[in-house]
Amino acid sequence: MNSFQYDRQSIQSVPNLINIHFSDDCFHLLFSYFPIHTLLSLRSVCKRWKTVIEDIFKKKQSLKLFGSIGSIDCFVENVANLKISEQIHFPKIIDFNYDGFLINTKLNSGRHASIVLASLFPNVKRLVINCPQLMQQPNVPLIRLLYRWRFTLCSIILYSLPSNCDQLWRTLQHCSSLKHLCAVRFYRTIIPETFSLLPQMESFGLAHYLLDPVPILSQLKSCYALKLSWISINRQQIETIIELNSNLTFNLRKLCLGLLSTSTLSSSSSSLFLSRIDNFRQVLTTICNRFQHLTFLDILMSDQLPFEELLLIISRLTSLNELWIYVGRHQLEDWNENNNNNRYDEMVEKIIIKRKQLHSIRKLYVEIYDLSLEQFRQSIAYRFPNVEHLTVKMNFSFDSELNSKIRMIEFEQLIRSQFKYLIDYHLKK
Amino acid sequence: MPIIKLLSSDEEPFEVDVDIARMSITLRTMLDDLGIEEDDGEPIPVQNVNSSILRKVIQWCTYHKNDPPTPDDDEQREKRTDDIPSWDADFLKVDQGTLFEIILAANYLDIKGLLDVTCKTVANMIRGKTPEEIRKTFNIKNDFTPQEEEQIRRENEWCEEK
Repeated sequence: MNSFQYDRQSIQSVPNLINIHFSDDCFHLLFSYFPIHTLLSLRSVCKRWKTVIEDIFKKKQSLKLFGSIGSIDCFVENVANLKISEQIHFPKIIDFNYDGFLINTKLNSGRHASIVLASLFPNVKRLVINCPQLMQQPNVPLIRLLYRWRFTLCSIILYSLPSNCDQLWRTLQHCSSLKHLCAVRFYRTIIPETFSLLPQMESFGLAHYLLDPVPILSQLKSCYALKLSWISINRQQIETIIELNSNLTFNLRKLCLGLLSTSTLSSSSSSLFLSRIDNFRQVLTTICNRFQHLTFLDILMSDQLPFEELLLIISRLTSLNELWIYVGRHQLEDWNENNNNNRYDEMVEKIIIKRKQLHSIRKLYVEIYDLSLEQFRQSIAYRFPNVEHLTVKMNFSFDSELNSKIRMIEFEQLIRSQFKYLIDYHLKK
Repeated sequence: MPIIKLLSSDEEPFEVDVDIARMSITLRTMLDDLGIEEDDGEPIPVQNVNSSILRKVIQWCTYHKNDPPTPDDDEQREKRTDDIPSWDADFLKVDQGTLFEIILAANYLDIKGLLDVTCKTVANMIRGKTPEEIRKTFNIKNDFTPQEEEQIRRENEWCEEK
């Protein structure tokens, strides 16, 4: 029933008004207000509803499977916050709500769930999965799902690994359209060095990985977006990767560096020691020297570098137009030019570039911690004069609710007056 | 303010501000295509909407004429149904038949704001109810065979809350 026509006579004689009045289009709109698990239940109202809902399922290309609400919280914290997620179709955390979500503890009932899912949702392109029970032996339902979706899947976020990893890698090899892979919580799992899908990955995320990432990263011949967090990588390893995979220096446009261990020692221990303080400067300098086509850089977690030094290093990226940074108290210890004890000069080894401006940045996400209005004006507004899209996450210690509100208003006024090219801005607490 | 005439399916004429009529994408397209800027004597037929429903639609549009444009749907964003403005909630306190006819009219006339708020109202009538309660609410006949019902029950078994 595709027309919007309706018939007064039939309304009067037949009481089932909704099915008579509503076209499939109207039902589609109506059902868009319900999450998947409700729609599954609504299928049993009548044949018409079942047909319409299953038609919606057939068209659904994005599915996010979670074993419990708790696992969503973990996911949001650990994955959605990673900016590479933007490249794998999970835009902003605020938008990462319920489309395609299927949350249920009974998802953990494994094999049966995988059969029903594969038949109800035959066209899944983008998959997020965090259901431990779907990954366990003996049947490893996840493998069955991946195999069923092998022709359609183009993006996967794997939140943990099945018990049989060899089978996972073998199955993934069949996913010929897969271009985006984010692997979280891989710990000491060995990703095969000759994993033939890696060269075709356009975006790749690796988090919680305890082994040497060089064999993996050096295979990413087509990768333009890379997210690394909770891994160990140092300057020498980056050089080795470039030596083995020179494509990466030309292709890489988007880079998100989360928590890293940048120790020069090999990472053979069973856990990571996130020692960014000592070597992150070297790592970031190498990255900015070698990946000069970067347009997006997220170093929100790199909070140990003095602000001036950070700007100096980043300024080498002349194509950079989107930056995610943190500006907190310790970065600005020497922000005041009248400060005689100017540690900045020492840190950049006598290269003094005061009040550096980054003109290429059009999009800026900045998380600030205890910044005064004047500090914000000098450290952010002045330094990024051409920003068009601005997001500021504000953190203030010891602030009352009322003070916070007043500060927000003050910052809003400042932002409006200082950024002359601003198109939109968001202030978040 | 320029006025145009609309003619309902039961041939009752309505005089409407052009700006209000243009809240309907269907009418806006029609006016633009025909180059009509104000009343030129010929009423514009609104064939699929009868007078009682068209009156309601015009009433809604008149109340909302200064609203900002409705943003496009974002597929990733959760659609809320608990944010119906109180005026709209009162306006939509009508019998089911009228409510569904307003939805159809909003769909035909392509008035997104009205379509959204009416669909939310129906969604709220469904939310939290069992399939049997929904059938009762809308007088829907259960047309499944026992075997088909069992099949759906089995398919849903894994996803029903404990």
